[in-house]
Amino acid sequence: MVRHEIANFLKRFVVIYGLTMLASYGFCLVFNPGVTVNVVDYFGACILFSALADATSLVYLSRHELSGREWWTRTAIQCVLLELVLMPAGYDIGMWRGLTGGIVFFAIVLVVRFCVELVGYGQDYADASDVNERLRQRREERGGTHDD
Amino acid sequence: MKVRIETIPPDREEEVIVRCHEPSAAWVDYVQCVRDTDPGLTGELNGEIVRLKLSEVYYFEVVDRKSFIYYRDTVYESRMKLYEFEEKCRGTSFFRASKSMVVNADKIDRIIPSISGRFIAVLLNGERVTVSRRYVGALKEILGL
Repeated sequence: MVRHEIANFLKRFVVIYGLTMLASYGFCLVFNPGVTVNVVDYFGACILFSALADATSLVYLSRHELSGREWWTRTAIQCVLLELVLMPAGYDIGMWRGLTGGIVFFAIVLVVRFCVELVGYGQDYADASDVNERLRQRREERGGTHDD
Repeated sequence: MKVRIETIPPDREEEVIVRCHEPSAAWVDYVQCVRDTDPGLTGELNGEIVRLKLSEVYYFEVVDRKSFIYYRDTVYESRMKLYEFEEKCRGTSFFRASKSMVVNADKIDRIIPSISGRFIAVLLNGERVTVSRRYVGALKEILGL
């Protein structure tokens, strides 16, 4: 189980870091911020902040299976934690300044969060399609729906 | 000795017929061996202990530290723990679907992905159960994917 959680952590980290790089590119392209940072320092900061952001997923750990309501509650908590971690981090490395920059950065964090969920859903959709096709084939092999 | 295997439609019950000159102990053992390949279960309903067939179980669930075995239309209480049931049906079409449930893949009609990182499995009797994302791999393995 621990190995499984670590594997999930790493998978999410790759997605978060990749999306953060894309978001950084888009942000700089659109707003052309006047801050100059050392590239290596910036990449290193993004790795650290991506790991911290990923760590907020620990709110989902539970001994029992989460209900729909519990999942949404923990998702809301995780979004708050994400902002608490990333807003100061973004300010520290010069990603945002002023109220407008802060609001934009706040929104980008939520968008990236949503995109991570979307990537997961995309994989789930593909898995479901494969499973349903195989279930259909099995039913045909057995001659229609087999129920007692 | 002739051996004949006949394929029958799904609506007919499977059976083994042995035609012998004399029902020796060996034949009885062979028949017993075939019958025991369907590992039996017991469940409790209205105070009565009932023998259940694993192949007819839809899913096994633990709720509030109580275990239940779900047939198509009936729910039986069980004294087995989740890991015991898992062990009993190892190598069959059952798989762990969540932290508290083991589902029979043969009773799944389709699965629907959900935004919350889970799947909804629609069973052949119309019931819907949750399959956690982390356990979908086990279902895919059973289906040969």
